[in-house]
Amino acid sequence: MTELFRQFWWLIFPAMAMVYGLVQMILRSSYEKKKLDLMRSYLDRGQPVPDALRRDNHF
Amino acid sequence: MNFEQLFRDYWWLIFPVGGMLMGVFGMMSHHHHRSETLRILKSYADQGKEPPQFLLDQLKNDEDRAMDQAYGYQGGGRYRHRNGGWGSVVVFAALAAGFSYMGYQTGSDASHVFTALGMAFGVAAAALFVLKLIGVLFGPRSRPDDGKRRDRVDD
Repeated sequence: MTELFRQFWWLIFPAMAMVYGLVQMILRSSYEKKKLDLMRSYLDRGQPVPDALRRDNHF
Repeated sequence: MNFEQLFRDYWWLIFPVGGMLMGVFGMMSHHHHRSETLRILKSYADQGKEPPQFLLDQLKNDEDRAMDQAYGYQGGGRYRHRNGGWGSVVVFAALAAGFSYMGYQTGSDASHVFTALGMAFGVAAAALFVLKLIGVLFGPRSRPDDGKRRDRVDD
């Protein structure tokens, strides 16, 4: 077990990068869904969508 | 070969792994903050009220931060941006010098690690320096009305 860790400890970095990317992707999609939901609720009421929502926001 | 020896050899991994965890946690809490802002905006919209300006400004500020990050200004965007960001260059250069000295002085097995860290921080410091130099030479000039321009919502 320790020998395995000694040989492959550097795999922590690419694996964490993948995890980071995955989490970012999931959070972004969730945020975009909520934003679209909010925009729809504005449109349902016939109100103008605020400019702050209309902008492309990536993080 | 036991776990104590393993810890002795790889204790420094605590720092990068901790940094990664902090990054993921920061991303999650950032997302939480933004979703809550959206939720509040939604409840305003459902009641047919005009949302307060500062909530919309909050979305705008998050975008500013995201833009700053996308364009290479590291975290805390506005403050660093206004400050010139030379602090990070100094910090990285100091770390490089310190680790290089440790790697040079200690004769034990750990000296390789310290030398490698010193080299890594040195490269990072040089890269940051060049980036800052390019930013200062060719980047946008800061204007006296910067604060006012940034507070504007519609652009």
